[in-house]
Amino acid sequence: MTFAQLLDILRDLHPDIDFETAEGLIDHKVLTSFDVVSIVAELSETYDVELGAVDIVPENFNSARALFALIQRIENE
Amino acid sequence: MYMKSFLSYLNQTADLLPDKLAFSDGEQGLTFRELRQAAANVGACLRHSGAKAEPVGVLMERGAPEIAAFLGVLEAGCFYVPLDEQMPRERLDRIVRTLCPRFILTDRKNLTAAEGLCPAAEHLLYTGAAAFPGPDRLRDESAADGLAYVVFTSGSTGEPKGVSIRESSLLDYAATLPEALSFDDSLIFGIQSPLYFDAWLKELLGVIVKGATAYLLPRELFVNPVSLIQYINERQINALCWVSSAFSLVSRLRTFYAVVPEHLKLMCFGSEVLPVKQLTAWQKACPDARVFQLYGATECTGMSFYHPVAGPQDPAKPVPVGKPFPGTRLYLLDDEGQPSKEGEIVIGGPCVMAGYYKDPVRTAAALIPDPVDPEHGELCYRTGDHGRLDENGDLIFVGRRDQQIKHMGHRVELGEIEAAALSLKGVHEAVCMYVADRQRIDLFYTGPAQPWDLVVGLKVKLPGYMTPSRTEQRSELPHLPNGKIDRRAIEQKEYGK
Repeated sequence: MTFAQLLDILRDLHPDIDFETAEGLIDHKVLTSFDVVSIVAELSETYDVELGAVDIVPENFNSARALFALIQRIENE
Repeated sequence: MYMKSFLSYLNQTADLLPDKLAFSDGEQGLTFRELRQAAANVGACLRHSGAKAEPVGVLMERGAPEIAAFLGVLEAGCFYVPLDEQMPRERLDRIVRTLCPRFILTDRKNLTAAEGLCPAAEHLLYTGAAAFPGPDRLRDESAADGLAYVVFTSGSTGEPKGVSIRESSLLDYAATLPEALSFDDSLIFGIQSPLYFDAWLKELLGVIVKGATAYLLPRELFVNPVSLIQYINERQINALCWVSSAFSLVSRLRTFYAVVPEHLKLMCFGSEVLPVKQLTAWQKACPDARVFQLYGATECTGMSFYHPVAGPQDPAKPVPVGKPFPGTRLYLLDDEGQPSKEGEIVIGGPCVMAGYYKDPVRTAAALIPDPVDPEHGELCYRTGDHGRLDENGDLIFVGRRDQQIKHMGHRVELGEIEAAALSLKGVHEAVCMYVADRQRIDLFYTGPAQPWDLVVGLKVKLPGYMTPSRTEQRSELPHLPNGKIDRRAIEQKEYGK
């Protein structure tokens, strides 16, 4: 998947956030636990990207870039 | 054993287990002796300040001291009203306007906010109140059946409703729920819910009535489910009474491939239906846990029905919500208001609320005379839920009769979101749809306002769980011949259903 597709998923949840630049999404409570579930489900259902339980830590969801880096790691595995 | 006052349970448990941990929030823990003393001191401080049978707002950080503050308000013969620091300002303002409290209990972190919210009230710092020299026992006499608490829930007109619960209802809950679910002092609870609703009363009863221990789980752990389960295991937490969506969250994130709850003995889920797939995942991960489905309403002091879930469940059949606690009556009323085997769920008994605070109109709409014995029976609560009885006489929850939904464990009136949107500039019409399979609230509107204006505007007016996930502008919305917005047409157009 592409970075633009990931941004679409995130914007669907919070249209008011500029995810290209926003940092600390979890630390600043922009994304809630239920957002994380939605994102994980969307990645799995639409893009066949399966995140493992150990990947679901705040560091991987604090920015769109960090999450995209994780997705690329999984896709290259 | 029959108790006259809810606080007598704490007296009794603190006599038996004075040094056992009652509540902990990770930073601060209170033993039963400390909890009782803190509540007695807060109560004495409030009485000394002149508080008597009146609302006391509590605006404190979620933690063990907040629980002592609630109990202290009861000790003073007053009723507590949780005001949460995470509620949006406009909602807090409305609640305070309805309540006009003379006293607010707060902590250093929230003092400025509390003063801004209600300048006329007297603001008591918890640390000071808990150090006030009070008696070493709590009152054993009931406070003339006054109110115990008022919690505010979503109202379809945009005005939150203050559900007012009597002390006798709380006492009835204490006598029924811990017995029905076989709580005992070996249980260690992990509290998921915020303290500004009534969901955590289950754990409160486990602790105070049966001598169990409860940890307040840090909210941020729910974005890190592996750490959440590790936290639970480290503290040997063995009992979870969570909303279904919190259980789902953990199992859907495949947490159990990495770690499983090692000590779980008891699992109670309520407020929403737990999908059988997620229920099965939990049953496999925790084969020794007893599992209960619960059902109830804030207007009936929390949970009123329970159903033990044993063994594998048929995915094609709904899990029943079961039978009422002793003393609670169930009626299913058909469209003519006659008792039937299927219809609106109406609940009667000591659990039924006193009413909505200072709101006789909405109270009269919600409370009706006992359908079977209207002359002598007490008022019963119309839940607005639709149910039926199965072949075993267990209640099955079928759905809602109106636009109220359960979203992430919270009760939400879609009408309240619509009313908030309509109060914004440049919004002509607004309609909210709930997409149940994706657990998402969508808002469609007409008018010149930009979606971004609505997103920002609604964040100030509504709690986070009520803000729509999608906000979309439309040139027009379909209407029914009577002028109302045609929700079914929107469903077809937007979701192809």
